[in-house]
Amino acid sequence: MTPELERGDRWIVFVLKWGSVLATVCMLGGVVGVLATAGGRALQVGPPLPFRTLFIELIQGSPYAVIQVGVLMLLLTPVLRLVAAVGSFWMKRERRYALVSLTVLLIIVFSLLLARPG
Amino acid sequence: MTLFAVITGLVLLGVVAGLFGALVGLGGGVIVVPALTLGLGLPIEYAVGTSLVCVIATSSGAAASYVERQWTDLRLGMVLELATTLGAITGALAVLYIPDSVIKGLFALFLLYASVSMLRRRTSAAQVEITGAPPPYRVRNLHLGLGGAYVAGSVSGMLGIGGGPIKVPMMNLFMNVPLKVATATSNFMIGVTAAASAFLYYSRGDVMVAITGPVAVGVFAGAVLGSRLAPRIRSRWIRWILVLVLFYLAALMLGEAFAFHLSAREQ
Repeated sequence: MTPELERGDRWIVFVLKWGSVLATVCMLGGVVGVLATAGGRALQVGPPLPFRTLFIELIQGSPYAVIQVGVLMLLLTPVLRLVAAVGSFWMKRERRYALVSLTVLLIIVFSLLLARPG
Repeated sequence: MTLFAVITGLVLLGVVAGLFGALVGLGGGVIVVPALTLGLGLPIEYAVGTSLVCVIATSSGAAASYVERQWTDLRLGMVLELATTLGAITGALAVLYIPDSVIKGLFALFLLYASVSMLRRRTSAAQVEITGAPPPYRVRNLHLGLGGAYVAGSVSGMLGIGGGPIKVPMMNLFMNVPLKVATATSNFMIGVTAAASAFLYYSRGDVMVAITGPVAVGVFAGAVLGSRLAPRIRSRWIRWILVLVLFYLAALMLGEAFAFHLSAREQ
């Protein structure tokens, strides 16, 4: 019989499962919103909005902004999964793997710095 | 085309990609990128950026399930992620200096490789899922694995795919990792690898939000549907269909790559 999953590993499962579900629900809400408010207009295809504009558009109820929030949630899910992995290995007293996970997290932070979001 | 038709088409594209991914372990990027470039005429960097987000959607649910069943080698996955994430960043940066025609040609070659490796594979992802617990093993050739993981990450960051067809055989054949564990561990790594390059594409404005949303929703639905259907469907036929589709897409992508290259030379 498979032994019970350790608490730290349950965090990893929780983040992966709910991160993707919440992001998909958010994007689905946005897609439904686009369909509901289209009124004969074409799909507004374009690059992601800068964060400040995204916030304003979100307050104004733009469905495209809702989709973008969903996309961001999906992008952040693996990052949170890494945070959960650091915690999980640390709790299991596997410091070497906690350090490896932390290094991967730092590589992702490095890619975020390279990305310089607007 | 009406907005309703466009969104329905994008959702259906996602469903097909997610369904193939769940049923035969290959889908997501290999279907989304050619469909967006060939079908919608989207520049390849936009298709790759969009696909990387969808790849995260495909892998997250499956990865959660594999970790829950304790098939994932979390330690090996984290160590190899050191290389896949660095590779992904390299791939996403390299794209800036490589002509579109070359990327399309590379994508076509990857499609051919993936379809040939699928033809040679006797055990499908669906069969891997329903058999018993993985046997004990000891990881070998870690240095070689790290090199292979770097290549898989670079290919993922450059072409917008998960890279399973590179990582799974590498772990299984050269690192002594059982197929089931290799499949689960590869899936576990995909999300973080894709995120490393997806942030770069996102900041460059290459993730088309209005296209990504419907496709990602479809991918998620297709993956859920596929995981339910997997034990009841004979994956052999699905595999053959996917192989034919991949050959067809590879031919079209090669044609586009040559046409683009020739027109660029004429100018």
